[in-house]
Amino acid sequence: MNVQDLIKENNEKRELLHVPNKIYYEQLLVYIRTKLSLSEQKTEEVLMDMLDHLLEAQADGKSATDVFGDDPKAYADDVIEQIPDEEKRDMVKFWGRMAFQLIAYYFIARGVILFALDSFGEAPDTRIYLLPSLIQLAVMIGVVWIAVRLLMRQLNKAAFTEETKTSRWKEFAGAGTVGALGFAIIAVVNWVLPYFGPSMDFPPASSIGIGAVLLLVSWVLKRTEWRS
Amino acid sequence: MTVRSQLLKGFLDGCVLAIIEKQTVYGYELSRKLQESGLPDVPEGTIYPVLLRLQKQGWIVSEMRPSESGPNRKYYSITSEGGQALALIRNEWELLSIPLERLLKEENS
Repeated sequence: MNVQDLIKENNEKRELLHVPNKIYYEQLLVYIRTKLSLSEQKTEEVLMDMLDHLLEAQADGKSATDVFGDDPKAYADDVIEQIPDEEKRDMVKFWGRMAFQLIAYYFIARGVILFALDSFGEAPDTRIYLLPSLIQLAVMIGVVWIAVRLLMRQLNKAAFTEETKTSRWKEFAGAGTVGALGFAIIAVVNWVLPYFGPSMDFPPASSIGIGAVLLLVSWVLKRTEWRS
Repeated sequence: MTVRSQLLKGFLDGCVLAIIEKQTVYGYELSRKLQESGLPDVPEGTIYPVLLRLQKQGWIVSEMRPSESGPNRKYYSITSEGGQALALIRNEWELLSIPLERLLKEENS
């Protein structure tokens, strides 16, 4: 079974757990899943094995603590130690797809903004400047990369803390700050970046069209990869 | 950590291999057999890191197939390398258990 099917099945089966078992298992799940360096396939497989086991144990009247012990973090670390790392190739594929999609959204957003400016009666510069655009894209990719890692690390660190109102609030505030800061960096870079270097005319309609095609390609690539 | 649990930690891989050698089992079944063999305090979940390690070493393989009671389950079976590894572990155990038995057994004569 591939990763997407495993995750879907996990979501469905998890609903069958009783509340204390569900909380225990989901803590393990968040902690193990947010270790991004591990093989995603192997991670989801072992999470499913553990869930199947817990469901069967639950039917026999046992609790998650009976099954996995009373130190979930130590147990999860034992499991993580044995999960192989993600192959370099798959990591590159994952981040490559992320970058590809960002480029697609960049073209679409650019087209929409140009159309909007046009409809407000301004005559926007529809030329695209190669070097500034590359810098903008690089900054966006960098910001997304850092933000994803920060959020995952935060989730990983908080996986076993008792959930309280303040801890929830802190989590949201943390995620919000990371998001806002990321956007601020992108906005400031776009604002101060001068237009320079080689350029070509790239009207909004073509921008949206090419963006849509890129999105479609990335979607098709993802689908075919799932099936392989 | 007690002496017993330390010793067990060292030989848990071997115990799991020995059970799988006798018959292909799925996870829950394996942990039950382990507990029934006189190790009731080994948390069931400890088999999963062990199973991952044994698979990484190529000593066991897993296969999804329908179980007697219906749902698909992941069954583990031993490979020929696993068989060789188990023979080595058995040998290690003998080298350890015979002298220990002799040294630590209470004198009753």
